[in-house]
Amino acid sequence: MSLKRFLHRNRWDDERARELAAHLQIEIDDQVARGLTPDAARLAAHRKLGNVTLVREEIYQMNTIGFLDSAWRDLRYGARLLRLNPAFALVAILSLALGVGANTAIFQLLDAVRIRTLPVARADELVEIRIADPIGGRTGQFSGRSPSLTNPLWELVRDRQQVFTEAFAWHALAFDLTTGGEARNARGLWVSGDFFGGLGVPALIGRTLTAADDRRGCASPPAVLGYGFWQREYAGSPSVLGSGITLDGHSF
Amino acid sequence: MPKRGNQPIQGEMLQGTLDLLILKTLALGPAHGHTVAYAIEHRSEDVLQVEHGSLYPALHRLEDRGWISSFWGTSENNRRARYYRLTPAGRRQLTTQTNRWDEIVRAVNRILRPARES
Repeated sequence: MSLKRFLHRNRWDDERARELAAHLQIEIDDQVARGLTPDAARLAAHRKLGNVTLVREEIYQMNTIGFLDSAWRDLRYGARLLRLNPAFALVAILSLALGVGANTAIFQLLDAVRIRTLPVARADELVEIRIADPIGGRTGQFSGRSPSLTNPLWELVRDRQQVFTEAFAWHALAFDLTTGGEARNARGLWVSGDFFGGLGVPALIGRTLTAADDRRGCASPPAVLGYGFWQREYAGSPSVLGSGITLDGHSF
Repeated sequence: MPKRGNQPIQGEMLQGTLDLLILKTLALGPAHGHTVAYAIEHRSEDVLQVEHGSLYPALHRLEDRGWISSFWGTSENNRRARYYRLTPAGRRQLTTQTNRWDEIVRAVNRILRPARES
């Protein structure tokens, strides 16, 4: 059973029809030669061969890929029924669309949360250090729902920990970009000097922060722009290197 | 059309037998379907009646498997007819199937007449 046969099954059917007609002719000739009248010979020949259409159907069935043929018929039948009953069709299509949409949304969530790893060098080795549920008092800084480390606590962790190759700290907040007038906020992170080194994220242009930047009393500390911010605010221009930016009134 | 003392075997032929008989008939030379049917009947002395209706599906099946090939020709009484001829693969198949048939016959005979064997 070949695909070629399947695609040419109608031509094959014609061929078989001609072959069977030829068979009948030869049989009729034979019978006439034996002395039957042409009409009687024709009848006898047809009787002997049986139902020609049935034979052709049997061969057609051999040539066809059964489920493809019937699937196509089912499809057309289904389309016809749906057209006859538009209200039902609408409800069916809508519920299917909603179902597919909901599933896609759930998958996207799952993909973002569980499947896709963070775009850093060794995401599976990242560990977040948090303050354990405090007993008899509160430790840390409470600007959010869970306590974050205060700077002295963080410096203790950084200097005393012996478990990790790198430790870094961050704090997410919005910065005001303007030097005056209406505030214009950009989302950003305060990070410690080892942040980029620890994550293994290099800079596209210029450099990232290092531990050397992470010291008290530096006059004009460096800042690293996110790719999106760089494209949006500076049109991706490399001349951004060396120019300053004002965040919350401090220049960087 | 039974004649003489031979009673034709009624009903379906043993599965696969028709294929074997067609291959054997075509081994003698190209033939069209009509000839094949009558050759089988004649050479079996009218014991085996080929149902013409099942002959063409069988021919088609054999061609599909590449054991026979077909071409249009002119019959002995000047009619266009589709001729079949054995392919090399068909010739090999004929040998295999003939051996297989012998095996079956021997096996069945061993059961039917256990005394004569052994």
